[in-house]
Amino acid sequence: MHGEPITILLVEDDQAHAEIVRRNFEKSRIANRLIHVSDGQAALDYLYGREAFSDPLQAPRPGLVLLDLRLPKIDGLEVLRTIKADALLSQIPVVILTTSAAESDVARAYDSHANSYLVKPVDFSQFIELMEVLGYYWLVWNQHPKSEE
Amino acid sequence: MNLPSDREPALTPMSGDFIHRLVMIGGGIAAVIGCIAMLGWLLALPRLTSLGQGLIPMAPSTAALFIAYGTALLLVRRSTCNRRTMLILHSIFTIGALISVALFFLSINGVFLSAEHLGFKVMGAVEGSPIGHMSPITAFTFLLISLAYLTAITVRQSGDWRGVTAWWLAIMVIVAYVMLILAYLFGTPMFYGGTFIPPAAPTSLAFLALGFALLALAQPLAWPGTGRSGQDAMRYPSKVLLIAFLLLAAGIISAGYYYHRKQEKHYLSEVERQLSAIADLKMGELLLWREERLADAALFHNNIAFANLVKSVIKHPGAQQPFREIKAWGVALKSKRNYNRIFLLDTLGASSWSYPESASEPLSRHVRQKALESLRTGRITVADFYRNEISGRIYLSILVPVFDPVRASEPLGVIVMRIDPEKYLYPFIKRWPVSSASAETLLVRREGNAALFLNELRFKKDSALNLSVPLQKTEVPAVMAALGREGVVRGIDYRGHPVLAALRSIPDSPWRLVTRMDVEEVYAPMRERLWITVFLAGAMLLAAGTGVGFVWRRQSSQFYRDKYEAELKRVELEERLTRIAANLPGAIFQLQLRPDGVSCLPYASSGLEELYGVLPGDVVLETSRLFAVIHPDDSPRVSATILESARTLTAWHSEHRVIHPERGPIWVEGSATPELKPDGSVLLHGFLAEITGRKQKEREIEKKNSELERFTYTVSHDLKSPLVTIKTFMGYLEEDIRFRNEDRIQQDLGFMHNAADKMSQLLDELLELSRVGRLSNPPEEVAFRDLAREAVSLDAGRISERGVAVEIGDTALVLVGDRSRLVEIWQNLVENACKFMGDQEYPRIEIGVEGSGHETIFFVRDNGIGIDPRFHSKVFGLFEKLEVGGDGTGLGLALVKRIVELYDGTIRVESDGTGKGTTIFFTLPSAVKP
Repeated sequence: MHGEPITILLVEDDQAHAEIVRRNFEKSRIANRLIHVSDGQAALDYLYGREAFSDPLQAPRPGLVLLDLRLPKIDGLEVLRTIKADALLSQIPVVILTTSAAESDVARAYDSHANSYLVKPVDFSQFIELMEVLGYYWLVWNQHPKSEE
Repeated sequence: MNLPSDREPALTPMSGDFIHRLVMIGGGIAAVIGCIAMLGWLLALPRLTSLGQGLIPMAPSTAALFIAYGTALLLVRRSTCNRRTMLILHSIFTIGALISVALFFLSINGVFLSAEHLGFKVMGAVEGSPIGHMSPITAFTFLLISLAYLTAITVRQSGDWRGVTAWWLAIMVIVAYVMLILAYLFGTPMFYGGTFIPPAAPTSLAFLALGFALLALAQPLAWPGTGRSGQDAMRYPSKVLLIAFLLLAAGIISAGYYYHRKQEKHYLSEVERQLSAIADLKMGELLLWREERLADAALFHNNIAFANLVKSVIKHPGAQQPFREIKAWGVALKSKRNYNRIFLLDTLGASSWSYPESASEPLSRHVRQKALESLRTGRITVADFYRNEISGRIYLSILVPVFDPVRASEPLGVIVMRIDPEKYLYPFIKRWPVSSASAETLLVRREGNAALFLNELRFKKDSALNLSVPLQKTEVPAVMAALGREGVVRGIDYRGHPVLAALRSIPDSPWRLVTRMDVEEVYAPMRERLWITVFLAGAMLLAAGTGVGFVWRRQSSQFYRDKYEAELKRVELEERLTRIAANLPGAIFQLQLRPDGVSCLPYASSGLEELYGVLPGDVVLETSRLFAVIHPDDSPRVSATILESARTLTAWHSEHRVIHPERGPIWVEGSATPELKPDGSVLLHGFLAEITGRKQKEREIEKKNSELERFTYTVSHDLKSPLVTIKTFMGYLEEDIRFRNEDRIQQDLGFMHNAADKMSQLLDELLELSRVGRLSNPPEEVAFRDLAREAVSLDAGRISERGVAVEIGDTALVLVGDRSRLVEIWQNLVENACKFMGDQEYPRIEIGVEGSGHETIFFVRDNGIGIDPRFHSKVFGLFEKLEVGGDGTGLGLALVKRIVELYDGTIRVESDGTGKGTTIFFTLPSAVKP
């Protein structure tokens, strides 16, 4: 049912939120490799293997990107567009994970071919549940495209 | 809407064609009459030059002038008179005037140059006037008409007194020559037999034509608004009035003519009756006289007693008694019966006795023959007027044959009773019951192929029995009489004068009686009447001309008064419109879309210039100049919407940009309502207004709205974020307390603290930001250096912590504004600079000013970590942060930007990239004292 461990790229500027995501994946033991970067520029650097991420062993191709929208330097939507516009990256599922439930954000995200849009719930248990479901759905049930590598 | 710009405005239809045609017709007629007269001289056909027998012909010089003038008038073209044509016209009329002046004075002084004949053979005279020379009246008229024509072709301005003079001169010439022509028509031409040569009939006709041409030419000058200056409204009545005058003139002339003819007829019949009465009277007397003579003769005819007496005289020539007796008869006959002489002829025709005896005059052979004839026939015979060959005297004789009383067939002799017509008959015939200058009675006898005059004529000596007229000359009344005609006739008498005659035949005689009178005398009383008629007609014509002129004048003045008032009203309305329109913020206009695709602005207020830089006058005919300044991106849309509006007849509205030639790009709003015109064009009535300000406000509002939206969004997102953190970690905290996971408890609490701190800071700064939106403190003057120093002192902690060297530019610049806000600019910038100094070994911040006045640019320069050019646009955004780890909320630069904008300034960042330092440049136009 589940194949090779998948690398998850978490793009999140809020350290606390990143911690929450990390804890949840750890707890549900479906944790594959979670890589956290805190701004849009770093996310793109990672995906393209630039700057600090030039070593492919240290920065493997992610099987899933969890992307916040409001990010320093390069905006989340911009990162999403870049990924989806690149033939090599466009197959990577990108799940938007953000606090904003603004309609315009949702619309723009889907316009830019986001694979899913999730809003961080304020309620603790809901957040935990969301993370659990998210993990199962994307890491267990979801069929990933065959990696080109 | 690419509109052709070289299109000429449609010309108004040529006006005054009617009048111009009149000029050409008048000139043409004059030229033709001149040509006909010339032809007459050339072919020696006097009828062509004079139009009648006994009338004066048109002189070759006159004919030449008419041809020249007529041709000149054909050249007169209204507005297309070029310089050459004008020169020709001026020359012709000037030379004509000079010639006519010369001829006038020569003619008046009785000097006639043969040069006037132009080489034609001219001889003779009519009623004492030499022919082939220009009449002084003609010359004078030529002079007047030349001057009038010169005036008419020179004066261009209507209503000029010279034009009016020319017009009235034309009327005078027309009236004068109408009278002359009337006189010709009535058979009593004017000025004949006077001191001067009278104008010929064709001359009068030609002058009439020239007069009408001049009238037409001067018409528009004398009566402005008619003819060439082309007021359609005025042209119609002017035409009508001209025609009315012509009809009136024709009516007066024909009425005068028929009235006169009727009078003449009446008078003529009276004269004829008189003539007839006189003829009858004469005839009766002649008859009586003749009968008496024959009765005298009858006394001796077949008188036996007398026959015996004659017999004894002849048979006994020596006997005293018979001679005494016959002498007594002779005495009685001569004295009582006025016989000239009594003869007794023998059978051979020889005179055997006569009384008075003394004069022994031989008998005429004619009488002798007649005597033999009477003896043969035995009847009384009349020897009609005959001339005695010897004495040459004229006699009449009555011959009575005397036969033997016993033997009746034997002739004895013939008694000849000779009558001297001079004694009784001629005076009697000559006698006229009323005094008359030309009346006369003629006695005529046909003799062979001629009519022989028997009596002495009044105007010809020794005419009796000498003068005869061949019978072929049937126009002579004597011939008519000789041919047996009776009644009243017209003819030419022996002198060649036209006469009126009554013809009679005396019964039983070869005599024909002609009582005749010169037509001239007959018409003499008529002529007097004619003068009255002609002058009456002339006066009526003049009155008609004046009347028509006054009606005309009244009409035109009324027309002009109306027009003037309408114009006044129009000017007032237009002024009102102009004044109102001048106070409108934009422009009002009418846009016409013609069916041929041309569009134009028949009206636009002066505001058009402010909006488009185009004068209303530039787009009256077509709109290409207007569309040329509309922004090329908007122009097709404007055209399309206008056409659509015209097509569907729905209101037009448009907002478009205009590249004003002086004011640069502006926004203009227009709206209009279309109206379909009967000619198929569409007229849009509307207004145009500048909306640059509104557009700017709209843009600002849009910007503010998006900023607000962003603000709301950011706030909701950024405030929610710590909340999520706190709630979530509270959950974790509960778990960790339950499982007594001490490490995690501390960690959870740390996250929660951080989140709460961040939230508090956010709220503080939001409050700060909202305060910046308005200036709270009254503006005050503050030196730049003081502001910078204050800002630096507020950031003193950070500066000293990081060991930054701060340098403040040396300038005396003074700013005016809310001091605390202005300080905030530098405070934030210095704070930012300190924050992002990185691991710079010699951190430095430079606060300075460049330029001066409104160009003053402030800057804050550091040598810190710099900003990647990719993020330059992002740094001033609300809550935008470039660094995750930093302790800022991303509000600092957004705050600075807001304050700068409050003072109408702009802000930008300059950095060559990471590690190259950063410079923030900004302006504060409203705060800088110039």
